[in-house]
Amino acid sequence: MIIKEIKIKNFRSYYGDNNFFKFSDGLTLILGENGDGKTTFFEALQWLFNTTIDKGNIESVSEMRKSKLEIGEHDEVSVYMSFEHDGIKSVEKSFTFERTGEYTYKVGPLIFRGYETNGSERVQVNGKYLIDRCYDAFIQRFSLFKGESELNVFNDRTALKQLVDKFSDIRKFDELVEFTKAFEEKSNAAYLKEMRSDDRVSREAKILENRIMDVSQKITENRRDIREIESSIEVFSMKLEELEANQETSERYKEIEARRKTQEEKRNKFKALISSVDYNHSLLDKQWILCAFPDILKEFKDKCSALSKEKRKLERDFDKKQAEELGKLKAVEEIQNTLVNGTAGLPWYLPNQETLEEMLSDRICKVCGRPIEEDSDAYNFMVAKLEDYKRHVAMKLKNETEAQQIQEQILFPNSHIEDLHNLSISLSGSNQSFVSGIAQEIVDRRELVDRYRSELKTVEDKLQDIQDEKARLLIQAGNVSEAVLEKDFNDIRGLFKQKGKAEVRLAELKAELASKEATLKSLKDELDALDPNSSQVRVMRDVHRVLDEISKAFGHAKEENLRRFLSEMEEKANEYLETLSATDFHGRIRLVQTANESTEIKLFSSNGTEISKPSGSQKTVMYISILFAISDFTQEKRDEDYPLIFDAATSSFGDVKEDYFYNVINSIKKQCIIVTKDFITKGKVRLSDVERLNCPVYRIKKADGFDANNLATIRTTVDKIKE
Amino acid sequence: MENIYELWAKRNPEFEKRYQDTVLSVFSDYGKGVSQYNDIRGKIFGAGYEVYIIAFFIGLYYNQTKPLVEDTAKRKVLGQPIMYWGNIEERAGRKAYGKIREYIFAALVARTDIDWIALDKEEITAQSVVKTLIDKMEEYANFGFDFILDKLEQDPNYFFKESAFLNVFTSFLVNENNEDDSDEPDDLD
Repeated sequence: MIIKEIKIKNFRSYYGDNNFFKFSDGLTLILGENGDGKTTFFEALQWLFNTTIDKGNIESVSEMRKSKLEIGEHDEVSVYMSFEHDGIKSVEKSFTFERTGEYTYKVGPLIFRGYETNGSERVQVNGKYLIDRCYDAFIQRFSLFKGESELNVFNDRTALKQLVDKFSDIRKFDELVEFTKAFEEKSNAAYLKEMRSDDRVSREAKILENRIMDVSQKITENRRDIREIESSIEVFSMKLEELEANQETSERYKEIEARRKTQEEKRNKFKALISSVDYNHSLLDKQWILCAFPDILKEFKDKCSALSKEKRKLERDFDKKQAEELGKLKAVEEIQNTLVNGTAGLPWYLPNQETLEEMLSDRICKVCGRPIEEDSDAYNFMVAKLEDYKRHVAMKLKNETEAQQIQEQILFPNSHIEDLHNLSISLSGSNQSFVSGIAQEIVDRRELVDRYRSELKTVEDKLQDIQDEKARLLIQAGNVSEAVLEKDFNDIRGLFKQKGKAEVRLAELKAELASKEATLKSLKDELDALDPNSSQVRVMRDVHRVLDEISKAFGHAKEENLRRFLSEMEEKANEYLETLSATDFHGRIRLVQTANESTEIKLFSSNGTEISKPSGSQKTVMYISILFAISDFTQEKRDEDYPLIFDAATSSFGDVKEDYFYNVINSIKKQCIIVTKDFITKGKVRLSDVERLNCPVYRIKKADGFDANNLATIRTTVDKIKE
Repeated sequence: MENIYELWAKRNPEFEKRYQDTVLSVFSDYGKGVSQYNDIRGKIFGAGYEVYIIAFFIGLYYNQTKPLVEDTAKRKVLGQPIMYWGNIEERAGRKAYGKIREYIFAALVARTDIDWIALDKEEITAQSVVKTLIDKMEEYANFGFDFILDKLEQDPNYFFKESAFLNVFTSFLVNENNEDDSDEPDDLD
């Protein structure tokens, strides 16, 4: 079967009926990123090929189409494929859907139609039968692969048996082997019967026959035990192999995790240290904003001390002036009291006012005792003396008032300058040295942070290395989850013990078997050595001998045939491996038979060492080589070709290798449809790399303008970007 | 006689309204009333006066003033009297810094031509002195707001680099350092 065209209509993200793919006989690439509709393309094919479903499912319908339908309107979901298989044929699977309410839809019956050309006439046939005939489920199994993990078709142990049954002639041998075996048994029975009736040897023959039967039965039991033990040893070995691989990985994983934790703690410590000081808050809380303040503080202090000085000087000057004015008042007083003849008179207050007034009233000097005539000199002197006294008292009163007034004068009623000065003093000393130290504090802190930063950088680099190492480890470990690696593999010892015991038992059983077989042989020889009387017995014996040999030969041929089939397939797979790997190291594939007729794929280096952990791309190439080989067999044995369709979820190739790889696949001339996210970097197709390809390339993509939360806005667009 | 410092601290400085949305609310919870969510919402500062202090010191260190618009309708009082500035709760790594008020006051005294002798002689009133101090403060801060807005208009993220504000202030130290340092500009990292 060669797929020619595929049309997808309203199937999930493939909105409308404009989604059309045309395929070449060789490789066709479909490029898309996660969410672009790669898997949906693949699932549309699976849906088409699945002949077991007979109902349409509303979940297959494009959400966008559904949302655009008015109530009562209907449309159709369909996947159509035309292909070549003994002439051009096509199949189309479809169903209708109708919107019946706001959230309700009705799904119509599933229609599966096929068309084939009969001569020049196009005939409609049942699609189901056409698919079963041209592309049955068995072929699909070796043809459709979703994700790279599915590439290993031999993960399922029955796969090889089925493959062999389909494609080799071993099945025919099975019948022959059974047939000859039956002949051998029959002839043996006839021969033994004749022996028993022979008069000469019947007694010995009977004894021998019983012993042979006994030993044969034991041998059968022995063989069964051996098979059981062998298969359990195989299970142990497989488990151990997995565990050991994981154990090693697990130990490394744990070691990496421990290092990662240490570095992460360090990183967190440095981050905490760096962020422990918030530069913005420190401007205020630590008053770093004062870093440039020392000059202004000095200005303030200078101003305060100048003001204080000026104020004190003004106060001193004022006090001095006051003292001078008081002095002047005193001086006025001194001038009084000089008599006419120049002698100093009595002080003005002697005698006092009362005495003088009494003497003037009594007209007598009460000091000398002489009377005083009115208007006499003495009288006038005394009057003048009284007036002087009065004047003096008045002047004294006035002077005292004046002095009091002078003394009461204040220059500065307020003390704001003193307040300022006090503030200035309080901002000196430790406060001042704090302010002058801020600039240095900032420099120190920044240097410290720089140091932390450079150490943080080192730690982060280390952490990145460790993360990379971890990622590499997980890639190498394949599909092993981190959770599994976290687990301890203590049971590994237990498994070793069980396996050891089983091996000892196996050796014992094998020894027993060998001795029993020897016994059986000698018994048979003994039986053969009997010389029967009857010639009939001898004929029977010879017939049995011949049939026995024939039966053995067929049994052997059956094994040989299987071996040859595998070796041919191995040979073909290795040819593809070599072609696909080009100059890369590729090793050699071996298909190794295990018990229970199953097979494992192993990769060996040319020096005979098994490559137990091939890289992702090695594995992919290895599996694809085997799939190509299998495909070759179908072509040879059934004279029909079929496509290989991969939905490669992850890319296993580096940018360098991918275009080469795809060109080689294209040149193999085997139809391949690969859906991949190769050739896309940051949402853009690397057109220059695509140009180097020789095959048609489609680009599928979510149409722009979608709402990430609304499924009804998503639709896939299909563009052919290379013919 | 009431202390000038106390009279000044009771005041509530004004700023030009246009800086409310363009500067104050950008860096603080100004106008939101509560400052407890600033960490959650990623504001650099808490109360509005914190931005005011930053703006003031920028004007102070540049020694540049910018008179506020005459139209009082275009002005607004900050809402938090100076006496409460820096009295923040000590939590979420923050620390009270009330002492800053004295330094602001000292700077205003240093940078204004007030006749303190006349004040002590009662030839001028305490109110007029406080007004001079507040005016100077508002003009310094006004210059600072203008400076910040200018930077924000050039690069809206300018001050959201961790050390951008600190760099503004340490840039005033460059002249001193130049004596022994080379001519290399300061690393703005």
